Amino acid sequence: MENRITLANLADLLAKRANVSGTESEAFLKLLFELIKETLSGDEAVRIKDFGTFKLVPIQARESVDVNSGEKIEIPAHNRLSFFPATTLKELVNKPFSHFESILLNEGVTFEGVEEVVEDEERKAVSTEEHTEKMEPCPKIFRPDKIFPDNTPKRSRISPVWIPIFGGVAIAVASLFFFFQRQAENLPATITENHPVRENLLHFEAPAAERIEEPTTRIERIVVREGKTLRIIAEEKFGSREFWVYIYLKNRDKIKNPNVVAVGTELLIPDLSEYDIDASDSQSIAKAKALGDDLL
Amino acid sequence: MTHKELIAEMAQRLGFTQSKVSDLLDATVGELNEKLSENTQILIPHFGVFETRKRSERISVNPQTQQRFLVPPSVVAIFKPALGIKEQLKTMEDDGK
Repeated sequence: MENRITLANLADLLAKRANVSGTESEAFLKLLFELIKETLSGDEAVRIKDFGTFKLVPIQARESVDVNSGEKIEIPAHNRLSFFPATTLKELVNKPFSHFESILLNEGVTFEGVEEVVEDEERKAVSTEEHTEKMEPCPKIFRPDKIFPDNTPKRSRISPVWIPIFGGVAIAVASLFFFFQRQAENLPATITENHPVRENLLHFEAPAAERIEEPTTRIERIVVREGKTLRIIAEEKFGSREFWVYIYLKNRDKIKNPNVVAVGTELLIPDLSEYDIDASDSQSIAKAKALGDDLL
Repeated sequence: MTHKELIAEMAQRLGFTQSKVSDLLDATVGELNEKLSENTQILIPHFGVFETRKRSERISVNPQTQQRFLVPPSVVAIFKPALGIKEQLKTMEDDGK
């Protein structure tokens, strides 16, 4: 099969890549995996930079039910060999999906055919971290050429060794954030101006426009990050993707093509009342959708 | 065992210099990562299989806050240990008891 290679293929590839003889590369690989096995037998974890960590995870004895007979059986305590990929590897394999992010769903929003999982104890740690990650104000940009040099496992079970590394990552993240803030400040100060098109739309869309207080005081601004689209932003801010059209209208002077928004563009997020945005109202969504289809 | 200790141990056993082992290990990791990112399975006899798998999107509920997250689909790298090594390590603990 083309999509499958063995140790021998790997040895060849390695010989070419590292410019060594085939025998040497094969001996190297054999010893490498042998040594990992040996170390694991001594109940010690093996960490390989940029690749991942092999370690034994003790599994406690637990009761289970035989799927065939329905009888209760006990699974004895044992060790399981687990591999935790390093961040580098994780990002590398997940590249096709790297632009997706976890989205907080509003009440009543459901998706057909998507499994709903209540997080168990083990997963909770991961999800809390996802959550904090979401709230980080800084743009998390994936750059293959500048990957953090250390593999930081996304688990809460961290040995003390990781703490300085996390610290380093946090500093890097913070400096990125300030860098982007500075950039945002350098943008021309035209952002608070109301675009005429939007004005027209106000009357067309929302007859109650006069009720709206000074919009500038309540306007939220966000800077477009890598992998974000208007739809994703709308989903996050308003609870439905269809409302992207209002973000587009609000920022028409900055967006040429609503399908392509440059990273770093500062967008004004319109107030909910300004365009009659209500994710729980299907009419409101339908209206936005129709308007969006018109514009595209 | 950390990356450095691994290199030191391997250099000693192979009779290579540490820098050579380090280069070889980097190349190995580079090669493995490259192959995995192309969704290629890597079979290592008596050790296991490295492969990638797609996790489909799911809604996860935080039981404490009842917040619901739509977790996007992702591709993850996984390692399946070979049967032999799995059994060997499984029983290790029992022997120790």
